[in-house]
Amino acid sequence: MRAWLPSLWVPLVFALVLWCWPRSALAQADLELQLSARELAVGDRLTVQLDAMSEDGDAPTDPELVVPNSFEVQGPSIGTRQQVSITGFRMVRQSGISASWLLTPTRPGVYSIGPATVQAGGQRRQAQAVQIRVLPEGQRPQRQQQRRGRRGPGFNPFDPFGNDDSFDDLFDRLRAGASPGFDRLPAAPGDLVPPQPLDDIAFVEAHLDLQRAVVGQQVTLSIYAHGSQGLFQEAAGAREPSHPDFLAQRLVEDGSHQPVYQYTRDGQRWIAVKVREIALFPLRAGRLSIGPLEFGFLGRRYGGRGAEGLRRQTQTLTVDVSEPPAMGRPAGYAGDVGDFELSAVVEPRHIPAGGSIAVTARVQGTGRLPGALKLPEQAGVEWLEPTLHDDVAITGTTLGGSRSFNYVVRLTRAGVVDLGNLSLLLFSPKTGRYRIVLAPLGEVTVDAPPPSAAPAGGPAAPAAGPRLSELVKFRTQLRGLEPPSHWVDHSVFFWLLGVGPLLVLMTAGLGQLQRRVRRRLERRERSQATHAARALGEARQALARAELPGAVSAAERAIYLALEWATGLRARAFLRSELAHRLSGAGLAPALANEAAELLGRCGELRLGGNPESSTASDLLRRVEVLVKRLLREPPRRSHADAAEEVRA
Amino acid sequence: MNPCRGVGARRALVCASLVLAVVGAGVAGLAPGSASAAEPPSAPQLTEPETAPSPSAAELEALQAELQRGAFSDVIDRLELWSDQGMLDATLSFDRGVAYLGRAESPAKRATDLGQAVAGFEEALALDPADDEAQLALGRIREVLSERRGKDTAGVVARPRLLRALTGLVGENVWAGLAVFGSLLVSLGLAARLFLRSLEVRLGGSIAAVSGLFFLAVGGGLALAGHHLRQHFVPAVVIVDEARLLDAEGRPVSAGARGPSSLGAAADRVPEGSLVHIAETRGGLVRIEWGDGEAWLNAAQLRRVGGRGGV
Repeated sequence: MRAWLPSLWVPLVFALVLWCWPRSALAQADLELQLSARELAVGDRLTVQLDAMSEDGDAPTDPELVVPNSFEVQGPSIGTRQQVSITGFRMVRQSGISASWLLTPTRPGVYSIGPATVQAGGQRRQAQAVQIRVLPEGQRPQRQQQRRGRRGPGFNPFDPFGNDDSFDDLFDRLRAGASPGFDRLPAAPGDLVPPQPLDDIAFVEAHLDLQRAVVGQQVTLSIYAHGSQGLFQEAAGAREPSHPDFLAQRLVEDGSHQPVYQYTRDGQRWIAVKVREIALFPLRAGRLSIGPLEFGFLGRRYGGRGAEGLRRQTQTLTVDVSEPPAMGRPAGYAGDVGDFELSAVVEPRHIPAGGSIAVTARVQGTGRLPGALKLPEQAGVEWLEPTLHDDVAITGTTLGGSRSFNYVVRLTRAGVVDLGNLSLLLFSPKTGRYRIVLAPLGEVTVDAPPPSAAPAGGPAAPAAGPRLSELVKFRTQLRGLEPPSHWVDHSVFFWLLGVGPLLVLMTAGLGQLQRRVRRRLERRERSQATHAARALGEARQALARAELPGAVSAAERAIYLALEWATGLRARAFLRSELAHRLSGAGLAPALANEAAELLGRCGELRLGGNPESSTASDLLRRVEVLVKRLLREPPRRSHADAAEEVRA
Repeated sequence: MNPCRGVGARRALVCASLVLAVVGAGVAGLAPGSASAAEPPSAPQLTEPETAPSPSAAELEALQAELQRGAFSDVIDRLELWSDQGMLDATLSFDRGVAYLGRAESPAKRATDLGQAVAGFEEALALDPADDEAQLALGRIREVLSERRGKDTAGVVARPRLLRALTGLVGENVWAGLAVFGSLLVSLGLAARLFLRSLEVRLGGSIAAVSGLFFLAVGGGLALAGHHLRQHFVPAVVIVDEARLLDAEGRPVSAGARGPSSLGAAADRVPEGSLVHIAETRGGLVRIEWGDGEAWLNAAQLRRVGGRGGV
């Protein structure tokens, strides 16, 4: 017995020691640090993943990574992992985390990433550091390229034949006919091949599936890159097309998962690949434009290995967008366009007053998913804001899918409540018509609250003051009032402002004009020329009546008046002997002055000489007429008397 | 004849010519329908207006029943559809205000309901300025909105520009009537000055003509200003809680950047229910006059008020 005891105690004590040993000491966390590349260029991204597993049931926590200052760090993003493995008769259950960091180097050099640590079993566990090499910007790490070629069976459109180096001399071999690879590419569809290449080396071309659309209708923008110099990749820094008047959903982000097509144009072989596809939904009516995509072709034959690559850009495109037609537009139409179906589930159907039901509505179809449904509102039914669950699906180039609206509806009035219909108002571009999709919700039985519960703060609790909506009542009679008319809107108003003063001024002006004309007539009536002509007339009449003295006297008066007209002098006041001299002094021509003096003397002789002969008087009158006409041709000169009268006037 | 009379007549002619020049300018350049009359820069366009028959009393009674049933959104949808179809009636605008107000106080309330209610009542008031009920509702809603905004902005009152304040003192037609009265006074004064011989009467005529010229200038000027404001600005109501003022590029404007304003720290945003005047539309932005200043706003934050500004 004593010999047996030592042999039994040793393993028992050892097992006891092991059992009592702190579990943390036993908890061996398994750490593994993985890097997506060991060699990369400045600006490239490096993914660092730390997997930490533990067998003791407590997953490691708090991952940390030591990173040099020359890196920009994003993360970590942490996921949990569970792992069960059976080795022989032993099952090992491990739990752990997987932490990922995204690093972007900013300077070239050789760096050490790590160590990475986690908290496990009360201690920090550590994974060893890893060295990487960072190349200057623009240089391609050779190992990375080689790794890409070996990375798996996935199809790489920029390396469709599985070459390790995407900048190889594929096309050299193609031209020489040494490789059947080019012909293995699918032929480009007819609409993809441009009638004329837009460039000799490379170009990008954008297509729209619709040129006219309504607001909310999907317009698909597809952009293909065409290259004639072999394989290419997309250089970093592409400038995406601007589309401020559209809501956009990207269908194709880049060409990495798109088929590569080949075609031959004018003896030159081209490859084409779709590099972008965007579903655009116009937000407003008008002629809307979509900006160009600036794309960089990266490849040995496309302008070197610079990071910019060979830059090409698409043309600017426009779409004519109109509103859905007003004709037939249902009330409450919110602009949804597409083809959708609507279904709804209500549960439960029996609740107490004040309770809630769940209404789950599902919209499924093609188009931009509707943002809201039209609710059947009624008193006593309160619809709370729904929670949405989307399942967006892309069928070909058409966006669609389903959206679930989960409502909580509170029913406050007892009785059987007909909830009515959920409705979705749509415009279908295919048919050009509006659709109202209904989902009947059925009835819900709402039990009255127990009598004891009613007064206790239910909906019937007194409200604080009248509500605003009780101040105004809905009106049912149209007023038919014309919008207020404004005088200034009518041009007659401005004429009205001017017509009064204008009439007064016109009247005043006419009166003044009348007075001026009358005054001129009066002056003319009073002038010596008029009197002289009148005296000549009287002389002729007297001669015709054979009243010779009267004729001579009238002729003499005509001469005096004509002289006064021509000289302003009253010739009667002067002696005959000095008359000619005075008239000449007054500016009359001497011959005329002499003749006037002579004729006046002759008139005096005949008048004083008794009964003159008719022939003599007739001759005299002819001479007087000639003289008077000549005198009246002279410019008039005012006499002092006339001037005084003018001043008085 | 008195030689001085001709001189006085010439003066009267000069004065009257000035009057006629002013009136002529009004007729030629500013009268509506004239070739140079400017169109409102951003006169709102209803999309594809459709000539639909006015709703019958039975339809309105059915809407009233729906409203009493609590189906506010259905009523609003129907009224908005009529509005989109170009129906403009004070009753429909008022009812729209009632429906929005009802929904704003129901469990189905939405954020813009009170602003939309203000827009409905403003439109009703624009179409029927004698609608006291709409005026009362507007006042109460604005009180509620002011209380809701809290102490910091409760006292915000945007003082209108001097010109708008002057033209708004009395109706535009009152100013136009004053101008007509001034024109009449000018006519009588000129007539007395030019046609009557009594010295006292002629002196009175001169005074009347000068007074008439003053009334004509003031009344006509303010009537024309009212016409200009009506033609070139479109009233609108802010329907969101607060509309942030922007610059022409759409960047938010701080209160300090706007310069001194009577609005103080709240000068960088327009509260819900405020009446602003749209001067220009550029893309999704509108240039507005609010208070004594101008700024830009997101057009979606406003609802244009029909019945004014040629809507």
